Parts: sequence; structure tokens; C-alpha cells
Amino acid sequence: MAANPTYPTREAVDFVVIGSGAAGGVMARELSVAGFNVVVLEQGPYRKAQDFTHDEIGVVMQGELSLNPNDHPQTFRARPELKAEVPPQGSGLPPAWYAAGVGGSSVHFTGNYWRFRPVDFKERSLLGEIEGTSFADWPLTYEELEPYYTRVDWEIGVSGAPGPFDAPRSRPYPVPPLPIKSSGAILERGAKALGLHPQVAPMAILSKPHNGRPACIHCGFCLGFGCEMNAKSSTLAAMIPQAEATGRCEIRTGCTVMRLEHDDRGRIRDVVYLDENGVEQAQRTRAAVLSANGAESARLLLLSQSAKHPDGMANGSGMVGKNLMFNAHSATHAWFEEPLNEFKSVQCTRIVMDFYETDTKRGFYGGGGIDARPLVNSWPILFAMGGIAPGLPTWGAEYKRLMERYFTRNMSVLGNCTSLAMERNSISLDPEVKDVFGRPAVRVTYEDHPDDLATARFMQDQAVAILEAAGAERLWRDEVTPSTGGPHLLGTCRMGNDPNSSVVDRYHRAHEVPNLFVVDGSNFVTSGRGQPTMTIQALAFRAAEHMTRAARAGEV
Amino acid sequence: MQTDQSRRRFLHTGTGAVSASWLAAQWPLALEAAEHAAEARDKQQPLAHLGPAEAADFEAIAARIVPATDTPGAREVGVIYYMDAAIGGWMAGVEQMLRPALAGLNATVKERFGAEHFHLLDADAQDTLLGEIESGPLFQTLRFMTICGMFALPSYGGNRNQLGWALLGFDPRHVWFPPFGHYDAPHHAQANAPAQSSTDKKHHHGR
Repeated sequence: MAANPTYPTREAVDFVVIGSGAAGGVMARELSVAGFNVVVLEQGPYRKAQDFTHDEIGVVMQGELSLNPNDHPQTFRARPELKAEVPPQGSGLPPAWYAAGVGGSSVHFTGNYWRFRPVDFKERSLLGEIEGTSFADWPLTYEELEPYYTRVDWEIGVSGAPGPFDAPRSRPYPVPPLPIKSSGAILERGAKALGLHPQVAPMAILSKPHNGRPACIHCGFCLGFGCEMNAKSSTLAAMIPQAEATGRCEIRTGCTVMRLEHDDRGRIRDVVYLDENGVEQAQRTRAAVLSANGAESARLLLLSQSAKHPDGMANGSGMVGKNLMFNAHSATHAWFEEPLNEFKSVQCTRIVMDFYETDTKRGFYGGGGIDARPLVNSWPILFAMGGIAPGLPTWGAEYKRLMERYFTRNMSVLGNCTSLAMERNSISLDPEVKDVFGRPAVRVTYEDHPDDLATARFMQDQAVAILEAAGAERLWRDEVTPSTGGPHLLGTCRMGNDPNSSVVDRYHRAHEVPNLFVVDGSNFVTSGRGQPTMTIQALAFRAAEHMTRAARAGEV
Repeated sequence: MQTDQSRRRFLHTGTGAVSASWLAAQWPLALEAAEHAAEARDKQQPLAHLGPAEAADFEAIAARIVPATDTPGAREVGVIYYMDAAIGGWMAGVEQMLRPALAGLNATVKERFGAEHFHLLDADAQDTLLGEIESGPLFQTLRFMTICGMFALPSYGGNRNQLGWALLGFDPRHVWFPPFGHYDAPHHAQANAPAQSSTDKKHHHGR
């Protein structure tokens, strides 16, 4: 193990990477392995596998893997003409939900790793304009991205097996599928009875040892929790150790970036941040990589105003923060006769991808994938709080009897769906609310397109049909209502060939700032079908390759 | 990934009834308080924060939310020790709502039943009163605390001997192997079936 370097702030490093999550972790590893000096600025702490727990109070109730919402308030409104408010205390997760710490949200994710299909990149050409939206083709194709999806499979570590509708792949999965759970077996049975084509869920969780990391032990605490085994393929487990092993990557935790500063030529020169003691520092750099997530990357650009960039860094197009997409979702819950014991193992083992593509006969844009999982009802406290079917007692002897019977007999089916990009949905700076450091708070403006909600309801109808065909004893729907937030933070620094309608080019370079790269979910042109992380990482591998080539040629 | 309703459920029922400070300013102190509570539970020591009368009332309410049946209820798994630790720790401040609300409930107890305290009533009378206040902050907060005291890690003061988990059928061991449940068992049986014996048929290994 090489010693971790300590770079002086007043001497330029090759790259400062802001954020160490799904994208930032890949960037840190790729750029340091390529021979560059890298400083990673991470606002959260450096937790490792041994620091993670199964503590529902700490992780779920206290949100200990996320930022303290009292210090980092966010505001929400449905439409631009409304005043955004901080959601009332106890109303749930923050509007733009993400984990803070080395590895970012890859630490607490579920690990559904679905590749996009070729159609995702060119739907606008195939389907035509959709009025009132920013619906557009990507500036790249599936074929261009395929080698990088394969790198995600093998270098991040994905368990799986190909399905009947999958896009072509150049290499098989590196490790076999995770063992099927009862929720997966039930989804498979119901789907087959309806003539559908259930398939193995590809998961970023190792079924067998791979790349020096151990296999999953099926402890049952993936969604929202950190992995105590390093079997979940977070960048904390899969990328960061390799970045540090180069001896060229310095990870500075507890560091909150305040703004990017450019020189007289308009090039980024300093990344200004508060260190772990709250002291302002400025790291000089030859180039900056913004991988803070679709909410925070946009906020940071908007905070970095200057005479040259009056509306925020790299925002001549006005598109920074616009076109936010959360992925619409629907959930259906069911109880069965025999025990499923969904508190064991990973969330998802089977999916149904028959409804992925837009079918114009449905009368609306959109599609998605269906998965079976325990959701939050495999955790004792959350099940007891809200896992009992509507209309049944929530206290007393009958409530207790229902808990004793159905904790082991419940499952959920999720519809993971599209969101249409619209300029009215955005991340912006709140004009009044400030965070603990005095920065304007993240303001989320979001109202799903009617087609997004129609798609979510359509997927729920399919889920209900599958669960009925599988013989559910009882099932009920969560009503599909407009989104008030989510963990998928997409679209806010769109990539494109036209500087007037996008923030970065097809290689993630800001159109207006030659040594600034934005690499994370903010670059998405369309939302995909509800599982974005694998594509975020494929883009990051591709971006790093091009940045490496450009830097070596003196073109950054 | 969760839907909006699940998101609202992620912290609690979304009624806005639980107005506790969700993040204790002194997290290590909260853990320390929980440690004391776990010890107090195991050694039957007195509570650290709640007085005897209010503790008896809170425990009585918890015992109607999850009553003892053929299995232990809230009283038997030591939920009151969890409540004591939470009030002194990660839900500090919640007593500013709980105490006046309990006083209001006991005023009703006196007016309707002539008793001084909720815990002195019989179960039917208790259920009647709780049915009238079940959507309010006192009941909703105590329900939340009862559930945490039943099912949180025993180190928080409740869930004595993991009895709460046993009631659900939740087993906290970290390592599992398939089959996991009834419906996946046949799949694993197929996967684990012994390979066909080589004596059953002739193979031709041509080269």
C-alpha cells in the first residue's frame, strides 16, 4: 500500500475531483491509475465496512449516512410560481436524498444494475417531439457506451445473467446470479403465468468472490445501509482502495466545496472549500471534475457566479439545474400464505422487462422495469410502523397477531419508470433558506409530467396482475401520487452537442470552461427506466478515458 | 428506491405527530443513555428520566398498543426502558409534548372514571380512551416509541433478550444460505440436485 500523499493547496494538482460517489469514485481511481495527481474533496466522513451497522434507529431514523437536515435544509415546491418550503419535520426524506461520505450514495444503494438499451439514447428520433418537454436524443449511442458498461460489470462487480430483451454485451457477467429469493420466485411464477419473460436481476453485489472482494453473506441489510462485508459494489469497496493504492490520490473528508474560481482566461484555477475544521482553503488545480450528484453539482455551479458567469459557472445556456428527473415509481404490496423470509439476502433477484419500451398504443410516453423486493418491510421497525395492510388495526391484540404472521410473509413489487425532462423541474438556489455554512439551500422544483404518472400507474396494473396470478392472499397499492423528491438526481447538467441547450459536451467538458468536467447523473439527457447508477458509472469510465487522452495531449 | 408513500414512511407515519428532535445534538451521549437503559432493564434498576407515575402510565399505554397474548408484549420486553433512554437521548425534547398531553389524558381519566392515573384503569376503559386519541400526537408518538422499544437493537434498552424480534420471526444472524423461504426452496432443490450418475448412460468423449 502506497502512502497517501498530502498535496500543498497552493501548488496545482492535475485534477480536483469533487465528490467520491458512484461517479467521483470511478474518476478518482481512473485518473490516479492513469498517473495523474488527484485530490478528492468529500463533504462526508470516511466510513469503512467495519463502521456499518444493522441499526434501524441510527441509519433509518437518524439518517446517519446522510447529512443532518437541520444543518442542510432543502426546500421543495411543485411549480416555479409557488414558494418553496422546507418540508415539515418528520415528513420523510429530504427532497434530493443522497448519502454523504466516501463512496457517496453507492454506499447505501440497492444495487439494481440495469444497462440502458439502444433505444434509450435515440427515443426522440424514434418517437418525435413531446410538447412542453426537453425530450432529446443523447449525443452518444449504446454501441459507444457498451465497452464501458462492460468495464462496470467487471471492475465494479455485477452479478447476473443475460435476459431475453437485453442489449448486446461484449463479455458475459463476471460472476453468476445471486440465489433466488421467495419474492423473486413469486414474481417469476406470476409473470410466466401471464406469458411474460421474467429474468435474473443484475445486481452490483457479489455472488462469488471477485477482484479480491468477498461474496455476499445474505445479511438482508442493503437498501439504505452500508455493507459490512464489502460485497456490495460501492465505489468505497471497489474503486477508492485502488485509487489510494496508487499513492497519487489524496482523499480529504469533511471538506465542503463553496465555489469554483477561474482565472482571467476563464479557466478554473482554484477550488475553494471549507476544511474539516471549517477553515476556508483553496486548492489550486489544472482541471476540476464535478461529481457531487445531480443536486449538488448544479448548486455548486450556480454558487460559482462571477462577472464572466453572472448566472453561474458554465451556465450561458441557462440549463444548469434544469431538466431534473427523479424516475417515476409505483409500489404494490402483497401477503402470501407461506413464509418468504424477505429479511434475508439482497433486495431484488428477479425482474420483468416486457414493458420497457414506449408503446404508442398505450396513449402516453414511457416505460419501465418491474422488480420484486421486500422494500422497507424486511426491517422490523419500518414493518411495524407501516407494513400492515390498509384498514386493519394498527394497535392492540389483532395488530400484534398480524405482525406475528405477516412479517415473514410480505413482499412488494416496484414499477421503475421514466421521467420526461422539462425545464420547469429544477435544482436552484433558495432565495431565503441557508445551510449551516451560509450557502443558499438546494431548492427542488418538481412536478411529474402526466405521462410519467400514467406510466407508473400502468406499471402498477401489471404488478397487480402478476401478484394475482401468483396467488397473493391479499394485495394493495400505494396510490401513485406526484413525486416530492427522490434519490435519483438526473438531468441538471445535460450533455449535448449544442452549447445553447446543454451544459457539457459529449465528453463531459463544460462548453464554456475548457478545464471543467461534470460527470454524474446530472449529465443524463433522458431518465432511463428507473435504475441509473450503472449508466452513471459507464459514462464516468468513458469520460476518464477521454480526459486522460486530452490531458496527455495538453488539451485540458 | 422508494415511492413517495414509502418515503413518508421511511421515518414514520407522516402524520407530523412526532415532533421530536430527530437528531440528538449529542449522539455519543444518546448511545451512553441507551447503554444505561439496557443495563437498567437487565438489572431491573430504576429509570433515569421518567418519574414512577408517568412511567406507569406510558408503560400501560404501550401494553395496550402491543399487549401480552400467548407471546410477550411491550411490558414484558422492557419497552419502558427504551422510552426512558429515548427521552434522555435521541428523542430528547419529546417530553415537552408528552408530559402535558399525558396530564390532559389523566384529567379525562379523573373526570370520566374518577381515577388518578391511566394505568389504574382496566383494559377495556384504557382501550376506550386510547381509541378516542389514537390519531393525536401523544398516542402516535408513544406508538412509535413502543415499536422502537419492541424491535430496535436491544442495546437501545428495549427488545429484552430479542423477544420482540422472536415475535416477528426476525432472526438477526448476519449469515444466511438459500433456501431463504417457502417459495424459493424448490429452485434451490433443483440447483442442488445431484448430477446424473455416469453409470446411467454411456458418454462418448470423442476428440
